[in-house]
Amino acid sequence: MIQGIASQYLENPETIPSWVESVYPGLAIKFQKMGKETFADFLSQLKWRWLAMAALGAYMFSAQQGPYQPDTKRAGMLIGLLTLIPLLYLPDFYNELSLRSEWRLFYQPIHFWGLILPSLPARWMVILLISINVVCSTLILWALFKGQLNLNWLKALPIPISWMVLLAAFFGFSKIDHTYATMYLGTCLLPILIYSYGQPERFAFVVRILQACIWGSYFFAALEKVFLSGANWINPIHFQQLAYLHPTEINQWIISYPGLGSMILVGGILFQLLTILQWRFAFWGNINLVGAVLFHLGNWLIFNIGGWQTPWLPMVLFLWPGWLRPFRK
Amino acid sequence: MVKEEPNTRFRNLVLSGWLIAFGLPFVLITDLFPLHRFGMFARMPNPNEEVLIYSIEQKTNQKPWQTLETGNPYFDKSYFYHLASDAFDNHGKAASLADKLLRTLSPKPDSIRLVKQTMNAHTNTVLIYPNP
Repeated sequence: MIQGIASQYLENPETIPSWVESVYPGLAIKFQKMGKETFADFLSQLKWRWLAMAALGAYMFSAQQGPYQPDTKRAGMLIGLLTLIPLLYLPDFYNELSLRSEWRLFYQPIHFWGLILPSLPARWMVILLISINVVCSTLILWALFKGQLNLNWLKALPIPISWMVLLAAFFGFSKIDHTYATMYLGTCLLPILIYSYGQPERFAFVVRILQACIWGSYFFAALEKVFLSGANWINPIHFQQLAYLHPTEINQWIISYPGLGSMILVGGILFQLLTILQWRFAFWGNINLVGAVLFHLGNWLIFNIGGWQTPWLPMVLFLWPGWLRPFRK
Repeated sequence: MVKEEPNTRFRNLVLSGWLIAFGLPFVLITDLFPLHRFGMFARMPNPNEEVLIYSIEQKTNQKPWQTLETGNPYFDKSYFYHLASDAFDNHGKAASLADKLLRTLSPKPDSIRLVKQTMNAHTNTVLIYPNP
């Protein structure tokens, strides 16, 4: 159906009903940015993308492992870390939003967020949301410190909600920035993790979903590259183009060795594509953890993107398979 | 009919939610909030294409042209690039951009221009304030 609507869009953009624009805002944006020819290429990919999704679904439903039963101590540590890490990044979040407040005239909320946040939230609202976050996180951490592991999941619910509103404001400039992507997903899983505590099989499954949110980000990024870039991904000119867009001394040195840039790009996409193996083979989590650290440090050193303090890095800690160590008495 | 155990139902529900949350943006390539954009650097590259870099420059108090910078990597490397590329060939967007910049920047610049640079070091500029 989408392919049909999109083909119609190619023929005559004026005939598309307005609800299509609301449900699938990317259509108009893609059409405008890609131009007619590239957009037609993109349309031809849609069926393959659906097929890839079906294959992934079949793989994940059939390859459910288990039951892994995390021990009590590690379960408490996991909940604590998932509460503490986003809490530690709140000052950075506040600084970023403060800077954006100087550019509030450029605020363009994304889609339906325009109804909820028509203008960039005032400073008092940002402080209020961050305070709610701090109070809830502190209550959870204090309870864990006192050894109370049977927490009420409702205490954690304001954390993802406040994160979502703050992120909506954060993303209200141009395109979606994926800086806090996995950290936000982690906060969404926090209440479910707390709710599942005490039922080891259920808890373990939620931990695996948390890990899937993290490795899934890399895996889907690789699929996107395979679909959009194809064989051009390893073309040496591709690395040169990226180096031109993100110039550093290191990538200028890499360009001087033919093939080295392509090898780096192949290494990156291979790591990302293979992250999916963690769903079936728990030990692969170790490889994913090391791979992700190298991947982000590489992005920083070669292209000056991110940094040692990028919010992606602390989240890869949750890829460690030891969180699902079989239960020991 | 076999009755599903609660944990199986829970598992299937959470797994289906995961697939929808991650899968739809990938299939539709859209910016559905709060899901994130996938595939940094993923694009349809053409080895023969010219890679372009856009920037915004301002001139204040008769000093030389200066690239607009805030010290924030997102604004300096991504956002201003996006604004300039959007407005470079669009007079309406250029006028709106100039207006917003004048209302935001302090001290107010004497002139503002958009710069497009290619890998071969060809540079094009468009003056957006004062309106030529």
